[in-house]
Amino acid sequence: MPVGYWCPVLHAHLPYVRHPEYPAFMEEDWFFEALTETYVPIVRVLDGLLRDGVDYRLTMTLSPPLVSMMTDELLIARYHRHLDALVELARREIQRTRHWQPQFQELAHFYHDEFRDVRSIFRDVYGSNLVGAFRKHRDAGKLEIITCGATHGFLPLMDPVPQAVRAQVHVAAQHYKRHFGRDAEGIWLPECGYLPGHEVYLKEVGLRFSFLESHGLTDAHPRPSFGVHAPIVSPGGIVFFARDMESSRQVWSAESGYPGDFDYREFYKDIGFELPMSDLKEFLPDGERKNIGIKYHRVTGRGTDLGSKQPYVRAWAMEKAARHAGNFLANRQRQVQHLAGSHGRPPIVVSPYDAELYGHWWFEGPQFLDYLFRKMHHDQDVVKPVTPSEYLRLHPDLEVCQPPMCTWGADGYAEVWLNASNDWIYPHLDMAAERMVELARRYERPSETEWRALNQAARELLLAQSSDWAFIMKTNTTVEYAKKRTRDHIARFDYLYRSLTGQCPLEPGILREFEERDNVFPEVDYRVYR
Amino acid sequence: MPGLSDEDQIRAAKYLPRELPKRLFEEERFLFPESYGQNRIRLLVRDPEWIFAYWDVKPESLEQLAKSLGERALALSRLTLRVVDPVSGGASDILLPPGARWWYVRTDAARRTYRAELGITLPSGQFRRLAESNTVVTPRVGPSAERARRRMSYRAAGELAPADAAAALQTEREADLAAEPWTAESVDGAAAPPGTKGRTPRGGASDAFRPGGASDTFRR
Repeated sequence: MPVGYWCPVLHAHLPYVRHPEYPAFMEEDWFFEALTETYVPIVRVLDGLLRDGVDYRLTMTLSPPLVSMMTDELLIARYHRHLDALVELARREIQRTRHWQPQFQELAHFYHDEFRDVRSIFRDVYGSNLVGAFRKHRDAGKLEIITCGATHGFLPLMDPVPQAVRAQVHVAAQHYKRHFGRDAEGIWLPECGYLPGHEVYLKEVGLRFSFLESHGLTDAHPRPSFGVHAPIVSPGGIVFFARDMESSRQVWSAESGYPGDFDYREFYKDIGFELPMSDLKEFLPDGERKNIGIKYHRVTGRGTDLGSKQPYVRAWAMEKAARHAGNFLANRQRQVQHLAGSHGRPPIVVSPYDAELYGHWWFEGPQFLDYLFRKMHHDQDVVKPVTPSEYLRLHPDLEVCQPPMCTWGADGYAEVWLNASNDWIYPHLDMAAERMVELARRYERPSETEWRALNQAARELLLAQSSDWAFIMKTNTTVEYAKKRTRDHIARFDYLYRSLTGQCPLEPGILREFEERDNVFPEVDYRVYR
Repeated sequence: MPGLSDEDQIRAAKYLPRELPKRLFEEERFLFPESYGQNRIRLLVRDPEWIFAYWDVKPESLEQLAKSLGERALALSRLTLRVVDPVSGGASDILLPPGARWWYVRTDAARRTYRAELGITLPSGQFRRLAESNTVVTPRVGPSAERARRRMSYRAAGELAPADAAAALQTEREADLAAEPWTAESVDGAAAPPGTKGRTPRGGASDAFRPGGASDTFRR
């Protein structure tokens, strides 16, 4: 038996962004970038580990919007186009750098090989079905896939209309079963947002465990004996694991985290902003510069301005990823040995991260994980990777404690999603939820058109509730888009509500247009709001 | 960026670019509702120190008041947010400025449960209620003074039916509210765990706070 366990959790999520009404849409790039830099590279790492007999364990959320996008024909076709363009651009970069920037020649070749490899894995190995790739690793018993809120709605702020919380959980659970062929055992509460009492909705669909920020356990009542290093069960019968801050900081910290190492790739210096527009015009169809994913520089130094960044050396970065994996493992060994002495049982160190941190933000992150799992498997037996359900079967005896409201946002509560930049959305989200409940109760036997309109109203509400919109408004990234999404979904919901309550006619053409645009959850049943 | 952790800022890299030229989106044909014409008020818990109240007012309610009181009396009346503690009593009135649609209310360290009423304070001082909110409970902060003793197996947890879970959670909530508040100092030797958040009371107003609005004291 190992001295202790390490439970890595990658939370993979993007909001549902799909715009058939435009030939190309900038925010769809979020998904394409994450596929190219995170999701496919992670699948490649897992494939390698499985092939080489490395006994890894990983837990991943695949959020319902992400799974929906991964299985959407339009987005898949657009991603093929995106990948082909990337490969072509990298090919041209080989030519260009040969004459004009020979110091980047090797890197241009690297990108060309990398994009072709990603394309081959996505298109040829998995037939454009990345959900199937993750399912393969789940079926091998190495990967535990958990679900999330249906559209990553921030549940604590939905509490005034309990049916809205219930629908986020129920729709997600049904979606999971449809795509993964069985019930989910665990759920990632969006933004780790927990409010006491929400366990009931999880119980209703057979969910059994979730995760909290550290103070969810350290502030629980009564006080858990093992801090954050053993799960607890709430009086409502849901098991909660909590985040270990030490292992989190090693990766997340802007000051001391691994991704800030000077040899790693610089995120912000991209040829999309460096090359003349004439070299990029086919890749920038609307003429606006954007990140493309070809970056030739390394972090270089703390505070180094973008103009002074030095060339990226892939071999140095790989060497550093291996050293960081060794350092991370040594720290986990020391940590579990220290904890085991006071626990009398093997401690579990839970390390949740946004999946997109690995690869998209920290380009070398997937290789770090690869090295780490291999070292953990071959070099020692002090700490073993584990999934939550596996740990619970090994150590089913749990203390009963009630966690307080908590989230993983700044300061640990709801301020990131409720502040002067985004508070205006809550009266509308709340009213729409209340009206959805009213519609669900009013319509016992709807006509076929009413049935479709009711289900579409549910989709519009769910899409408006994505916590991403409030987060973007606070972090000041694509704010106009986040506002547009909130307003559009609320406005469409409002039209459907007025139609269904006899205040205006329901135009079949408009309903069809809504269904085609906002086509998430084709199986949704509005009665979930009763 | 204020109000964001390192992680929040890194997470924001999923949603770039930050600087965009103004874009013209396809015009949305459906109007965004600015108001819903109902008397209603809701509370949300933001953190242990702040709750958020938002409301809507039915225009007909004000018209009726104007009829019964007269235009002048109505003009001298103020829309008022009354925050009450339904467990241990006490209330605090916030006279709202014209046009306010929501308010951040500072919580009181000595209490946890809040409900709000939206109403009109007449020139006579009389309060006419228009709507009543949901009840919210703010989270406890800091480690509990009591050590966990009760245990449950993973299997038993799985077998707990939703209705039994709801009943158990309700019992827990009542016991929690009946218990004395605790502080980190009152705990039997437990040090505050490293890296825990939200412990430092933020002095003054938050970035969202509307000066002059919130009340720190309850009237009994």
